[in-house]
Amino acid sequence: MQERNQTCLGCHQARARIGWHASTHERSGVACADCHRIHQDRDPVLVKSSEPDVCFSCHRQKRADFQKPSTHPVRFGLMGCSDCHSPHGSTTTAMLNKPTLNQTCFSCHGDKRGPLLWEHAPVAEDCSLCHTAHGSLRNALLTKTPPLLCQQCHAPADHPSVARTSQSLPGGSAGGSVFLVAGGCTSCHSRVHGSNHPAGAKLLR
Amino acid sequence: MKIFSSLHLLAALGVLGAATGASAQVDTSQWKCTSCPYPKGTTGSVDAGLGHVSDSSQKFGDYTGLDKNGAFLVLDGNVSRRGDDGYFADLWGADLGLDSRRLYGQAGREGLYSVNVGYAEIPRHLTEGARTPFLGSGGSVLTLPPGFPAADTSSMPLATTLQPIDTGFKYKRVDLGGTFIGEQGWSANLSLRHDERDGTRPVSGSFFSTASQFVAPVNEKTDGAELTVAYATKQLQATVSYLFSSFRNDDTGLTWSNPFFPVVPGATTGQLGLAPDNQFQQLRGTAGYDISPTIRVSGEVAYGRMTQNDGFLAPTVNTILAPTVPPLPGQLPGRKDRHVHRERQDDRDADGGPARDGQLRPRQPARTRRRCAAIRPSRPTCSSARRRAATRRSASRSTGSS
Repeated sequence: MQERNQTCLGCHQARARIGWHASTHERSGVACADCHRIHQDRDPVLVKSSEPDVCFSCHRQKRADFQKPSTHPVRFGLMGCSDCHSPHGSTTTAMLNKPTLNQTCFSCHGDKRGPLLWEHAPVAEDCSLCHTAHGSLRNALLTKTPPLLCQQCHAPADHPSVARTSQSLPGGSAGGSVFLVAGGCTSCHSRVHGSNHPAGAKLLR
Repeated sequence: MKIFSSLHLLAALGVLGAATGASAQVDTSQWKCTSCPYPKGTTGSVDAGLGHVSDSSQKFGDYTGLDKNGAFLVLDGNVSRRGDDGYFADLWGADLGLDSRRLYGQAGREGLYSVNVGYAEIPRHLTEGARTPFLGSGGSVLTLPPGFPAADTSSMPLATTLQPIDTGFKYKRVDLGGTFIGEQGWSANLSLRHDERDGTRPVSGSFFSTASQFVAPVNEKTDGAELTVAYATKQLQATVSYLFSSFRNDDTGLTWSNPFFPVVPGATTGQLGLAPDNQFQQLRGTAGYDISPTIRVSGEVAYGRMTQNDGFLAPTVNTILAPTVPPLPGQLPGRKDRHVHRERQDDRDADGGPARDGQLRPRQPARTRRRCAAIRPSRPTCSSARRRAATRRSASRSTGSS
């Protein structure tokens, strides 16, 4: 494998391949020709619509994730894995092609970037605290359903954050369905990514 | 098998060249690769046809553009030209008859330079069968028809006021770029990008203990440019890049009428702050150096700055409360700086095998230094939630960066 790769790296070591040495793919014994087809006119891994299938041949869990209801449009050919990842290695975890995870997300979601007058701490820190990038059964690629997602950080000490059960759903005996239906906490705290309103300290405006 | 045979042949020639001396005065002018004939001339293909969607569905049309029932045009194609001396040009399109159309073109000379253009549309359909009593959806002011406000939802005249509405937006992206490969290991790349989102998305707003769902406008544009200069030799590879990105939102706020009897006197309308215009700049450098055939060091330094200078919205649109609120300065000078640097050293087996986890030198954790929240008039970002989030992260992650 090493000899085969050296043939390619003799010319292609620059730019995106700087991080190849000791990258996750190299340590896993991936050869250049495992992904690239040098004798085809259009190398499938260089075409956005067919690139994911090359990646999915090893990353099968990701193939399943992208079939979930809430996902980025990878399975529709509108995004490729390399829109976020640098498969030849990078200095970040998950081989992202930007220096940080948030910056990778902000390259498309500039509306979340800010800076904002009132920021929501986990938004500024790490998008993956609430969202999963590859696919989710919940809206907006959330890792958990509100209010459970919010209650991971927001304990009852700061807010009447009661642990609701199915009895709180409409028609149930416990009441408080307003906290479970529609957007849950975000029905009121709708500026969950931060607010630029002077009265938005609680992300209500 | 044919591929491997060709590679073995090339490898053997390489070994032969090395064996005949380091100077390797091998005449390669007559070398030919018979396994991959270089096509010349113009080639292309077109796929054309008609498709039919049996039922309208917003969900089915999300990302695909197949939201309406009826016929649609199937049109894909590509055309390529390969000229003498390495000149090439490619044009490729997909789903050209749908709202998810993509078009991409590239031209240049192999090994010297290339330019590329791209255009893509992504249709988003966010709700299915939604209805709203609010008037003016898609704008920045939402009003209610006669019969509102009411004491509770059951008292509202919803049977006569609910109107169907589809929320979603179209995402358009235009790319333009070029790569230039210079002499002695130098190369440069320039990427320009323009994004647009036009449409609507659902949003919520509340007054004390009552909340409403309505529609917010989406009129957002993002422009970006990134210039990268790279230098590469057998031992040293380095890049320096500068990135600029500017986000613009045509709507700074959304005003909506309270459909419930106000608890606070005068609270008949409310206003949400929407995403402000902002800018991001970053200077980034990466480098890797082979100290020896078995030891390599690499690193990255990035310094970014996010800024915004939007005007303040009114602290309240409640006409009774407004006179009691002190005036705010005209603009919000916000700035956030972020500094990231990482470095690593990797050892390889003396026999040239791939480095493995257990053979890596203790890797310095990715270190992130951040200075943030240089925002006026206060520092609301240092909240208790932030401390809780940090505590939770430190418990679940030993190293990392954001």
